[in-house]
Amino acid sequence: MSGESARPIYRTQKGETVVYRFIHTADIHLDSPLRSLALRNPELAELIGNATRQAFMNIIKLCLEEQVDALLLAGDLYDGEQTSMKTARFLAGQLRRLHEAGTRVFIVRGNHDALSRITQELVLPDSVKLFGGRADAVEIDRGKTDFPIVIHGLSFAKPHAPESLISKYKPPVEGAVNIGIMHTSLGGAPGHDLYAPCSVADLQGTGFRYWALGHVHKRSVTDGDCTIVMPGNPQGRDINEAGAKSVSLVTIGDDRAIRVEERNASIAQFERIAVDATGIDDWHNLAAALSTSLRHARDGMSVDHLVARVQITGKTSLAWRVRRDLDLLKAEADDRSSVIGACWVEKLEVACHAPTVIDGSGGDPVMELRRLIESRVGKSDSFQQAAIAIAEELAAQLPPECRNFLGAGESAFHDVLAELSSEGADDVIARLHAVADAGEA
Amino acid sequence: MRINRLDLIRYGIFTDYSISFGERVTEGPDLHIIYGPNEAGKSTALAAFLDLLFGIEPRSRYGFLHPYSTMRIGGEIETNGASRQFARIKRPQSSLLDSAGNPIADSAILGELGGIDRASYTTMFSLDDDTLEAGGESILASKGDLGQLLFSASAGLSDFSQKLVDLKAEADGFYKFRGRGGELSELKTRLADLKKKRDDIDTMASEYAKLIERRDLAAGQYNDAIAERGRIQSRLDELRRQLGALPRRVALRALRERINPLAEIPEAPIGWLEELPKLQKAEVELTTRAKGIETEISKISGELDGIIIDDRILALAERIDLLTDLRARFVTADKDIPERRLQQRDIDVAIGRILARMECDPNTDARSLVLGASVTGALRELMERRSGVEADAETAAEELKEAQRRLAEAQSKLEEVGGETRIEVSSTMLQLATAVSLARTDDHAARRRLARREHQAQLDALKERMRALVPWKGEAEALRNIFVPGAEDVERWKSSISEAEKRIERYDHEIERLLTDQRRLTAEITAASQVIGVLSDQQAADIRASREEAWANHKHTLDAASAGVFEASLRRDDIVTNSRIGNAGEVAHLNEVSKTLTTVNADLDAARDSGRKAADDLQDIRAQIAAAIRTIAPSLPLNWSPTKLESWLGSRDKVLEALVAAEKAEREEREAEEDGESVRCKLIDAVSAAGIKCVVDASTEALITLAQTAIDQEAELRAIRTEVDNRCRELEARERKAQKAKDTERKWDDSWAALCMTCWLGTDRSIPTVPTIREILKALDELGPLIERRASLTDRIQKMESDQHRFVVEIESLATELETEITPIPLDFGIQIARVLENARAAENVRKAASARLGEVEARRQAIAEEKEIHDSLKAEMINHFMVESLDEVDEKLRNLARRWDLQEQVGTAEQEILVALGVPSIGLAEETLDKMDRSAVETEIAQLQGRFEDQDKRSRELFSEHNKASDCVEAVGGDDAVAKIEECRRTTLLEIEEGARRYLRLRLGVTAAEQALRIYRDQHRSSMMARASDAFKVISRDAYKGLTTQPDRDSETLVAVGANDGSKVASDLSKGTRFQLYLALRVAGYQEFVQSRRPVPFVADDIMETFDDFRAEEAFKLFTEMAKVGQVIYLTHHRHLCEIARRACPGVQIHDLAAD
Repeated sequence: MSGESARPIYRTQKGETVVYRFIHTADIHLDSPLRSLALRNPELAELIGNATRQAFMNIIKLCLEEQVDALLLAGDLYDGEQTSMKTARFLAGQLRRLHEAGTRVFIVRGNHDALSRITQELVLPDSVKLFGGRADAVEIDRGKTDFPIVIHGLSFAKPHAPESLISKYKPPVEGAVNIGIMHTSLGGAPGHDLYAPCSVADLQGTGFRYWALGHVHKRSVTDGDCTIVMPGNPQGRDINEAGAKSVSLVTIGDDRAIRVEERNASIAQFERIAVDATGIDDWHNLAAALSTSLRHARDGMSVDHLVARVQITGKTSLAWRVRRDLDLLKAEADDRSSVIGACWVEKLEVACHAPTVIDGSGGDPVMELRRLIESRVGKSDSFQQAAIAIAEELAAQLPPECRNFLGAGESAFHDVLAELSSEGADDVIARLHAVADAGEA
Repeated sequence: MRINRLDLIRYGIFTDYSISFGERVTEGPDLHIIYGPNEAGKSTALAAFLDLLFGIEPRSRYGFLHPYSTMRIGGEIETNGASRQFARIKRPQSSLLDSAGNPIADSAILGELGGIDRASYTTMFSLDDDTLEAGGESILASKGDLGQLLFSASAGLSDFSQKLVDLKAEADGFYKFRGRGGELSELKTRLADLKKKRDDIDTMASEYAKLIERRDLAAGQYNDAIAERGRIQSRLDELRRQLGALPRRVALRALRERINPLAEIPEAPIGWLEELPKLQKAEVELTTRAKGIETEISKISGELDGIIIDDRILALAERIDLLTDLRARFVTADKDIPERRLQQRDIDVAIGRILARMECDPNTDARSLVLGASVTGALRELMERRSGVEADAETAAEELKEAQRRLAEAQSKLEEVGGETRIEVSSTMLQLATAVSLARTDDHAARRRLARREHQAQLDALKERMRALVPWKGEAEALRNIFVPGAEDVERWKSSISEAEKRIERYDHEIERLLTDQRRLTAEITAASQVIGVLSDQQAADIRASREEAWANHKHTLDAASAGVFEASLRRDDIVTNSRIGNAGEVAHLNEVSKTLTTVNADLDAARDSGRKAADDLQDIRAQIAAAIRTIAPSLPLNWSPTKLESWLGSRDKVLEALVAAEKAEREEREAEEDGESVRCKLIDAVSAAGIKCVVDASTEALITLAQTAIDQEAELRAIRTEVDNRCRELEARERKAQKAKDTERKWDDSWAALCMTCWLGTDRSIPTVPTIREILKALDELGPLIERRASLTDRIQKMESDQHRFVVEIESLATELETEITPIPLDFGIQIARVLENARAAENVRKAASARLGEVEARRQAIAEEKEIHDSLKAEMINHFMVESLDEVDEKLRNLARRWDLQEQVGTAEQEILVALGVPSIGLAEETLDKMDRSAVETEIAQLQGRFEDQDKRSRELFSEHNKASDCVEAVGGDDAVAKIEECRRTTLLEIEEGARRYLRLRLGVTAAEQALRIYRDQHRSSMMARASDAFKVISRDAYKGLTTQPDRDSETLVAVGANDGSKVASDLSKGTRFQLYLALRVAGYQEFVQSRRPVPFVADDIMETFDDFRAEEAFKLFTEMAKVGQVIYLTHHRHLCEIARRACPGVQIHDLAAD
C-alpha cells in the first residue's frame, strides 16, 4: 500500500522502532441507548445522547489521529434487538473513513451481531476484513525484511456458543507475531451470557502474542508472553457499567515487544458516589458535603461528562428529612452540579439512618409506628396479600418492556416487594415525621 | 417541664405581680393550690400561663389595663432539668424573649411540650369548667374511633390518618384503578407516540433487503435495454457507412487514371525539392565573392611596403621611461636637503642640555646613557617597595614596646593577689559545686510545708466528722475494726419494711371494709328475720325436725299429751311452710345474704391472718436491724430505722476517708524531712573534702553560703593567672615580628647596590641614592625620543643625495649610447629623448595592423574555395541521377515527381475511407463488396432499423429513471441518528415508568403498612387508656361506678359507665356531676398515658369541681396527688374549704393565696 511508506516512524520509549500499531476495542453496541434517568434533562440528552455513536466516532478519530495501521473490533458492534439500517449505514460510513485513510479493519462477530439482522445487510469497504465462520489468518504485507504479523479471527454465526472456539483457530505462523481476535466470555462474568468460554491459560497456550478479546464489558489485561486484553466497552451505558472506559492502543516494536496503552473514547462516565452524612446535622452542610464529593469525583476524571448516582450514607439526624425532601436535595444536587460543570446527578439514593436506636418502648409515636410495621405488620398475611394485589394490579398496566422490573420469577417478585415495602414504610414514616415536625414548629 | 415562677408584669389586672411555685421538692408530690376569691385574677393567671407557653393570643381579652403594645408576661421555667428565664410580649413573631431580652425561638418551650399545640393542651391538660365540658362532650359525641380521639388528643398528632390519605392521593397521581389520566397514562401515550415516530422514519433490515433487491432488478433491466439499443445503433451505422462509401470508390478510380503518365520518373529524395533552388542561387554568389577578395589582397600588400621604423631608440625604450621618475626625485631633493640639515642642528642642542642636567661630559655619546627596560623596571620596583619596608620596621618596634608594658602590668596585678603558684582546679572544688547546685534545686522544704498543712487539715476534718457519729463514742481507729452491714442489706431492709407496711395498711383497709360488710349483712339478716314467716332454710329445717320428733314420740306413746305436742309441732310446721311459700322471695334473699355473710366472715379471717403475718414480717425485719446495730456498738439505739442506720454508716465511711488522708499527709511530711537531712549531710561531706572548716550541725543554707564563697575566690585567682600567661605569649610574638622587619630592610639595601652596579650608574661613582636615581630616570625618559629623531633625519638626507647622483649618471650613459651631445642642462635632455621614442613607437603600431588585415583576407579566400568544392559535388549528383545536363532540367523532373506523390496520397486516403466504412481487411475485398451491393435493399433496411431504434431508446430511458428511483430509496435510508435518538427517548421513558411505578408501589405499600400499624397502635393505647380512665372514674365516683367500658355501635363506639350494682349507663345519660367526674377521669388517664412516654408537663385546672361533693373532691385531689408525684399540678379555686380538703388528701400541698399577696 502506498500509504504505508508515508507513515511516520514511531519509536517506543526505549527508542525501538515501532513496526505496527493498532487500536483494539469491542462491544461498541452502536446506537444502544443509555439507561439513565438523567436523560430526562433535555440539555443533557442533547449532550450525551447517543453516546455509543459518539464514542465510536471518537475511536475512528483516534485511529486517524494516531495514524494506526489497523482497528480490531472483537464483536458486538450493535445490540441484538436492533434492526434499524441507519445504524448499519452509519457503521459502514465510519469504516469507509478508515478505508480512505488506508487503515485496515478486522472484525469478528459477537453474540449480539449474530442475532441482528442488519449484520447480513451490511456492505463494508474492501479493506475491512470480516472474519467468517471458518477460521482465517491474514498476513500483513510489510515487505520482505521485517518479521511477519498475522491476524487470526473467527466469527461464530449463532447467538450461542457453548463450546470453546480456540481449537478452531489456525495454528500460529512460525516466526511471525500472531494476533488473535475472539469474542468470548472467558471463564464467565456476572451479567454476561456464557459465550465461547475458555480460560486465560488456554489462550496463553496458543502461542499467539496478543489476544484481542471482546464480550465482557469490564476491562481486564493479562501481561506476559501472551498479552490478553479484554478492553471492555468503550462507553458505559448505565450505572451498572460504571467507571472509566477505554480502548487499547497496541504497539508492536521491532524487538517484537508489545505495549498496551489505554485511551479514552467515551463522552460520559457513570459513577456511584457515596456521601457520608455521619455527623452532619445541618441541611446546608449536607448539600456542601454532597457538592464536595461530586467535585472530588469530577476532578479525578478526564471524560467529558460525569453522570453520578449519589448515595447518602452514614448516621445523621437529617436522615428522615433527607428521605422526605429527597426531591429538594436532588434539586440542590443538580444546582451544585451545574456549578461544578459537566457533572450530572441521575438519582439520589437514601442509605442513611437516624442515629437513635429504635426500641419502641415509648417516646416518639412515629417511631413506634415504624417498629410496629416491622414487627407486626410487614410479615402479616393481610399485609402480604394487600401488597401482592397492589403490585399485580399495577404490573398489569405497565408496558411489556417494564414488566420484569418486579423481578423475573416468584421469589424475585417477593424479594422486590419486601424491599419496596420496607423502603415505602420508611418513606411514609418520613412524611409523618413531617407532620410531627410541623406540630412542633 | 415545670413552671417555677409566673410573672404577670403587665397583664390583665396585674402589674408586676409574681406567683412563685418554688423549686421542685425532691420528695413528695408537686401539687399547688392557688386560692383567690372571685375577681382576684385566677382565670387571668391561667390565661397568662398559656400565653407564656404559646404566645399572647391575637385578640387577647387581657389588654384592658395595659395596652397590647405594653403587655408582658414572664417566668422561670424548668426545661430538661435546667431553669431558664423567659418573657413573652405581644407581637406576631419573635415574641418569646430570653433573660437578656433577646428574641429566641418558640421551640425552646414547645420542644419541651412534646409536640402538643395550644388546642390540645387546653383540651387535655389545662382545664376550666368550659374546656372540661366541651372536651368531654366531643368525646361523647365522637362518631369515630374513640381510641383515635384519645390517642390523637394526648399525642398531639391528630392528622396522621389525613396525611396517609393525602399520600395515597399522591400515589394515585401516578396511577389509579379505573381512573382516567395520571402520569402512567401520559407516559404510555408518549411511548406510543415515539414508536409511531420511529416507524415513520426507520427502515428495518428486512425492508432494506427488499429495497436492495428492487434496485438490483431495475439495474439489470436497464442494462439489457441499453445493450439492445446499442446493437441496433451499430447495424444502422454499418449500413449508413456502406452507402456513404459508394461515391469514394468512383473518385478512387479517377485518381488512378491520373497517376499512370507520371510513373516513369525515377524516385528521388524528397529533400531535393527544397535544395534545388538554394543550389542555383549559391552558384552565382560564390563566383562574385572570389573576385572581390583577390582585389583586397593586392591593396594591403602595397600599404605594408610603405612603412619605415627607428629600431635603435626602441631598444632603449625601457631605460628612457625610467628616466622620468629619476628626474622627479632629483628636483624634490634639491628643495628638501637644506631644511633637514637645519632640524638636525636643533636636536643636537637639546641633547646637550639634558646631558648637562645629568651631570655627564657633554661629549659623551648620548645613546650609551640609555638604560635597558630590565634595569629601569627593577629600579622602579625597588623604589616602590622602599617606603613599605621602612614603615613595617617602625610599626614592629612600637608594638614590641607596648607588649612589654602590658606584661609588666599583669605581673604586678598577680603579685597583688599573691598567688604566684600555679594550682590545677581541684576535683574537690567541682564536687563542692555539684553539691551546692543539688542542694539549691531540692524541694524538700516546700514539700514538708505542704504535707504539714495537709496533715493538720485532715486532722481537723476527722474531728469534725467524728461528731456526726454521735451517740457512738471511741477513737476513729476503732471504727476500722467494727463489723457493719452492707449497703445492699440496708437497701433490702428498707424495701422490706416499706412493703410490709404497705401490706399492713392494705389489710387494714380490707378488714375495715369487710367489717362494714359484715355489719351490713348481719343487720339485713336481722331485719329479714323480723318479718313474720320469713325463716331461713335452717330454721325451717329445725322446725321440720322437731315435727318429726314429736310424731315419733306420739307414735310410740299414742297418748293425748304426745298428740298435743305433735299437733302443735305440725301446726307450726304448716304455718312456717305456708308463710315460706308466701314469702319465697324474701326467703331466697335471706338465704343469699346468709351465704354472703359466711363468705365475708371467711374473707375477714383470711385478711386478719394476712395482716398479722405482715406485722410479724415487719417485726422480724426490725429485729434483724437491731441485731446488726448491736454488732456495731451496743451504745447505739437499737430501734434505728434503716435510713438512719444508712446515714450513720455514711458518716463512718467519711471518717475513715479522713483518717486515711491524715495518715497519708503525715507520711509525706516525714519523707520530706528525711530528704532534707540527706541533702545536708552530702553538703557537709563536700565542704569538708574541700578543706573548708565548718560546724557539724550547721544549717543547709549556711553551708551553701560557705561553699559558694570558696568557689568564687578560686574562680577569680584562676582568671588573673590566665591573663599573665596570655601577655607572655604576646610579647614573644612581637619580638619575632621586629626581627623580621629588620631583615627585610637589609635585604632591600643589598638588592639596590647590586642593581646599580650592573649599569653605568655604578661604574665610576658611589652608589646613588633613591632620589638621584628618580631624577636620572626622568631625564633619560626625555632623552630617548630626541636620539631617535636625530637618527631618522640623518638617514633621510643621505638617501636624497644618492637619488640626485643616480639621475646624472643615467643621462650621461644614454647620451653616450645614442651618440648625442649633452645639452648644458641635463633635465632638458631627458624631455627631448622621450619625444623621439614616442614617434618610433607610433610607426611600429601602423605596420602591425596592416599585417593582421592581410592574414584575415587570405583566410576568407580559402573558405570560399572549400564551399565551391561541396557545391560542385551536389550539383553533379543531381544531374547524374536524372541523366540531364543542367540544374534547370533537374528542376522540371522534380516538379513532375511531386505531382505524382500528391495523387498517390489521395488514392490512399480514399482507400482508407472505404476500408473504414466497410470494416473489411483489404481494399480488394471492399471493392468487391461495393460492386455487389444492392443500394435500394440497404436503404429499406435502414428505414426499418431507425424505427426500432427509437422504440428501444425510449424504453431504456424509462428503465433508467426507474433504477434511479430505486437507488435513491436505498440512499435515503442514511446513517443519521434520528432513530437512535428516538430509541433513547423511549428507553428514558420506560425508565421513568419504572421509576414512577416503584415510587407508586413504595407509597402504596408504605401507606398500607402504616394504616395497619396505626390501627394496632391505637388498639394498644386505647386499651391502656381505657383501663386508666376506668380506674380514675371508679376512684372519683367513690366506687359508685366500677369503671368504664365501650360498646361497639355500628362503625363507632359508645362509652358506657358500669355502676357498682353492675348497672350500665351510657355516658350521656349520667348526671352532670358524674359526667364531669367522667370527663376528669379521661383527662387523668390521658395525662398518665402522656407522661409514660414523654417528659411531664404542668397540669392546670381552674375550679372544675363545682359539681363535686366534698368526698368526691377529696378523691379527685388524691388523683391529683398521684399525678403530682410525676409532674407539676396546679389547681386554682375560690373555695376555701377545697384548700382544707386538698391538705387532707395531700399534706405536702403548697397553697398560694392570691388575695394575701
